[in-house]
Amino acid sequence: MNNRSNTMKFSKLTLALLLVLASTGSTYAIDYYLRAEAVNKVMPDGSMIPMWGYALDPDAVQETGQVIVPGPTLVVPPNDPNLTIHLKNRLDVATSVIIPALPQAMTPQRFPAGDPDYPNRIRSLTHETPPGNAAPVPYSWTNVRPGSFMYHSGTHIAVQVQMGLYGPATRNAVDGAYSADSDFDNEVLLFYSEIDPIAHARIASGNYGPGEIMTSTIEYKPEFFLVNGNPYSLGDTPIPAGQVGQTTLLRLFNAGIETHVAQLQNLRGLLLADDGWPDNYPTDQYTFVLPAGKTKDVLLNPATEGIVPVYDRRLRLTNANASPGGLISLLEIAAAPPAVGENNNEVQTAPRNVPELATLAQYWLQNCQGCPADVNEDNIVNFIDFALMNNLNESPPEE
Amino acid sequence: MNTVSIRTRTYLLLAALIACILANAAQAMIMTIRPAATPGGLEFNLSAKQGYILTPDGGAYYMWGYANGDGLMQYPGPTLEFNQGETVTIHLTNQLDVPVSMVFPGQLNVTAGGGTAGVLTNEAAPAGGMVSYTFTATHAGTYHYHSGTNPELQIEMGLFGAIIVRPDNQPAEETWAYNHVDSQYDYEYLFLMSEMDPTIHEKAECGMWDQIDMNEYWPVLWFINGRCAPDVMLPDNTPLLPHQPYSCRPQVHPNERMLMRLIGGGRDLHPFHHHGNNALQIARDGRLLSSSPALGANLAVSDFTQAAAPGMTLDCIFTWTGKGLGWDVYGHEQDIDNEPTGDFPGPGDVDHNENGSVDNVDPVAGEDMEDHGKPFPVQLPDNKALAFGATYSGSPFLGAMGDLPPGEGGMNMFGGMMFMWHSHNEKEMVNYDIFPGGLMTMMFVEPPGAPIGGAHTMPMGQ
Amino acid sequence: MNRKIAYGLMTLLALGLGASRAWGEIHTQFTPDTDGVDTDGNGDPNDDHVYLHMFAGDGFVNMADQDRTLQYMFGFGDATGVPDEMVMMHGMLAAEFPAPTIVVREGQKVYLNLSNVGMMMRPDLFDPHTIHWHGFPNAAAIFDGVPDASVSIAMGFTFTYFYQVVEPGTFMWHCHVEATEHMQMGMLGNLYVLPKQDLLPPGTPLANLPPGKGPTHQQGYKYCYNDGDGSTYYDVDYPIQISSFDPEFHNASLTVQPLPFALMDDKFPMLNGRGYPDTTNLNVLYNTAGDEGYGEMNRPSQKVSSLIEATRGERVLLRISSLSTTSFHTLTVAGIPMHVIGQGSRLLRGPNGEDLTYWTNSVNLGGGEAKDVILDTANIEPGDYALYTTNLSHLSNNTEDFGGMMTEIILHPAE
Repeated sequence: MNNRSNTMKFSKLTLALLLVLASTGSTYAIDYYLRAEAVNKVMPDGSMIPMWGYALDPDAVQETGQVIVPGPTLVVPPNDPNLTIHLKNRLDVATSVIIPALPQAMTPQRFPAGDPDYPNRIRSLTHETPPGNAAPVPYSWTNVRPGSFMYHSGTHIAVQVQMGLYGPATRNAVDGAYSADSDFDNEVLLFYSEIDPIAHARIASGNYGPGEIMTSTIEYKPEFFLVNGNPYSLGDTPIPAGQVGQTTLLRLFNAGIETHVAQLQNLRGLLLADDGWPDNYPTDQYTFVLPAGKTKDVLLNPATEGIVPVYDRRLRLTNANASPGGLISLLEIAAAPPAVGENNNEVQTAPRNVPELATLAQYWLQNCQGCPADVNEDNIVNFIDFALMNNLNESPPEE
Repeated sequence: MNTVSIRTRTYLLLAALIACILANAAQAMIMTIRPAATPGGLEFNLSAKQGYILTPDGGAYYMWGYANGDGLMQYPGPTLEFNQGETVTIHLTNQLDVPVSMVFPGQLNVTAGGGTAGVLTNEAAPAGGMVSYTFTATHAGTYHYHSGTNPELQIEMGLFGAIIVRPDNQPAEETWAYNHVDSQYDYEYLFLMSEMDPTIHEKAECGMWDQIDMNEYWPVLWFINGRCAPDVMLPDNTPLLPHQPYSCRPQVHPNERMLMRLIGGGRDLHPFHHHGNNALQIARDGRLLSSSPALGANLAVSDFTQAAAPGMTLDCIFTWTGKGLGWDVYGHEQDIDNEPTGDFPGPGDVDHNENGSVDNVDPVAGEDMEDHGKPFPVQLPDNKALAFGATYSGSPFLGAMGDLPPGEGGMNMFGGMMFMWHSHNEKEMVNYDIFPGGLMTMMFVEPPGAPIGGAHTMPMGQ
Repeated sequence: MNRKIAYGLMTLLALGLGASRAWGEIHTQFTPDTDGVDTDGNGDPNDDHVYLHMFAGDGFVNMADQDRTLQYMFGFGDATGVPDEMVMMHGMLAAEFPAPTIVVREGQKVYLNLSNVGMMMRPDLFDPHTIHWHGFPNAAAIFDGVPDASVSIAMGFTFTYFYQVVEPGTFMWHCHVEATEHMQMGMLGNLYVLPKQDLLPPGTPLANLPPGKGPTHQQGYKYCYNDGDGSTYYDVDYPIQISSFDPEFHNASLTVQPLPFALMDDKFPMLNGRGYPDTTNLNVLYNTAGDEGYGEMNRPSQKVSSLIEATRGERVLLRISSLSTTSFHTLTVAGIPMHVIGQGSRLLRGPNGEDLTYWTNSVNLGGGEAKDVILDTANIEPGDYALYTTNLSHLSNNTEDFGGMMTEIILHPAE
């Protein structure tokens, strides 16, 4: 069987599935080791923005991951709905992580009753990870449903979320985004966020808080608008979004504080889901309203090749007022491949049964020659990255 | 006490005469441009130009806008009308001194010819450059277009407009918005919403481009079809507003279906609240809300506020009958000649339709028979206790006129019932610091038989 | 009595409204129910008419910041049961924020009397007032409250609105005179209509009652709409109204300065007229107006708590509406999904019975929008949760963080 005939190509997700199936002694829970830490981000105009981001570490001990904004995409495998984030905190303040759209037992943390500024008020929506913790603090979700989700800090959310503590999490059903009706070939994530440089500078330099220059976040004024962590710059390479005749799942996230409206040009999409909840009746639209904190899933079925611009119809299209910039993405739809031989009629038969997937995974684990030391069945994420980087999206030889 | 002294049916003839004389007073349909069809499809010639718009607070603001051929710059641009299935080519000539372009959200397979490649589409060079866009209008519906060049500035400057695509399968004697009877309507109106920060326009006029900071954007003017209230109530093409030809003066009779074509033309969301009744949202982004074509608008949603997002279009059907009020809002068979709760029948009551019974008139179409003849439930306070609205007829009954103190009322020719349709982010109901104004109009439920304006489709080039 | 109040009263007297004779201008109306027909379905044919009496005037409320910032406001208050001749005094500086919550039942006929008691702190103003029942179906202009299209009631007088209530659902009410100003100043409140389905005969089959509640209606079961199948069943309901104040605007009004419409920029985001943590306070909140020299006493001015309590397994109906005068807001509950069952005072259901309800984790509302949201706590761990805006910069009481548009949900363990 030729992998090219699969309707859902090898992706991080598929590989994660394979690895989980292939791993021996799997506890059927996926673990991610995140580390919250300050990081500087350079904007197109050269300005340096102090931010807080997440790094993906290989385990509870090593701190080798790179701090990024937004945080790493946390993929929950189709057959394993249990997710644990192990959080380390390398900020100066307590933090935490929540996924608001997933049911989660919350244990809010309050200021003391005698606090002079905020007596008894909730400061963290759930249990905190103190600064400098040695052992990671776990945050767990069971029965993660299929969908696109956002994780972000649950502590002092007015400050910590805008500082950059957010990222995407996704899970697919075994046969599609939500079901066989939402099967797809390619997946594109567009993750929106915003930066108010003055607030970042003040918060990072200790000039925020009672009695400081900045006492609240009410005067929010963003100047930079990021897609997947970077504002648009003229000449940015378009994002590959599949080819004519294929289906692409567009996952939209808004971690900003403002509402944005993603508008498609030259293409329409089928609005599938809202906050990881599939709609009873998907609707055919070209605008997708993304209030603050919202995720939406859209299915694209392009009929013509070319560039499909996706941009914020609320016109946040500048970088500190320089145009063009901001929330512009260019999706590149490739031409349909030329017709191939008679084996092409295998297109409809994806290798979706579990034993077959497990065999595939075993094959790649056994043949992963030249893998770095930290790439093995115990470290799914590194393996996925390695596999993608090395284009291991081939099927084993037919036997 | 208020007295109700004029009866619907006796004054309607007079009203019709007045309406004929003031032919421009009631314009109901949407004014569009549509060139003659040719074998190659429709060819529009638009230009991008500068000009000035006027606002009710006395402002005159420098704008960029699309114009029909060599016509005046318009805010918003001309409403383009096609039929479903037609191939459309739009030739854009740029008379501004910056590059400009057009994009057509919701349309598929738009090809650009000429011009130079920009970020979103091909652009026409400044000072005379040209570019053409061609596509086939595959689906009926409400759409819009806007500049694809620095949209954050050029949409603010006025470079956007509406598109209406007529369905290809409606019965000859009916008007449908989509290819299903669920979209049938008697009257249609456009609500193209936008907003403006005048400081940008003042700086643009002086060429102070480096002074414009889009992150300081602070709108203080809000528009429907390019006009602030109360200017929306002026007729289409009023010479008072040469660059703002489109009115927004929705009118409907009871039991008729009004199609509201709502478009978020600017950059902000506006919660458009329509007093009078809920409306059924039947389409979004130019597609009927439907799970299957045969089922029509079976996913339609009823609401009293339509949240129009930028770029999004919504089609809604609005109907008003007065059903369920618990009193006869049509004023049948009760004391319309005297104070509403007075004796009936009694002295002074007149058999207006001369059918032998005092005011025993037939019900009107759509009237709630449960309420027919039921009296007005409360006593209205003495005039000295009241302030009167300019569009108040002086009577609670549809089609009746009451005595008003001198200088009050007057903007209600036929005893209609007025409802405010407006942005419910109420801040958007001002013109700068002056209330009322902004994103607001008055919708008229006119009594049965009262005139409502006709179609105003202009041939190209006129 | 301080000077400002004395000045206000003198003005009223000068207008001939202050004397005992003039109090009599407050004349409320009510027609008793004698039709012998049980229109609200509760079994009593003679109790379908409802008398309500609201007054419109001014007052003060405190914000939730540690400084307890005092804000001048225009607003409504409840005068139901107050003798007409005492209403002017009763309403003096007694406005509430939000306005009193109006709850009526489908099938009732409501005589809603509005008395304009004048603005004590603004004797220069002679503003009339109205009531707009926001979303009333097939409204008649005379009772729609838009001053441009009907009449509004002058200071010292009473107007009687009449509503035959035919649609259940979540509405709002507010003054529509100088709407931008009067609503920013606080003349708005919750209004909802209970459906007749609540009063079904016990034993009526309903196919989609929650697990353990079916298969038939029982006495005490409550529904958001006449769904016909029990799908909008709830155990507890809470109106949650979004609103917000711009302190510059309120201060300008109090000090008789030009009103900054163009610069209006709300800094006190609230739910039911309070910022966090006041939202979670179950008590009626008294203002500090008396302490600060406005009137002789501190008055109960914020009566609506937003603390949400339920027992695990219950369905919590949130009747969410927004009367913000400036912006859209998005509300979420971290950790509890939302089932949106209604909007615009209607059940989300297609003409052929299509289920148009949807699940989500946040709802976005502009001014004048309403959404009915059910939180199904069957699979939610007991504990404390937060209902808050995802427009995170609005989690502030102006210059103070950890406040603003947020409240708490306490989910108790099941017995």
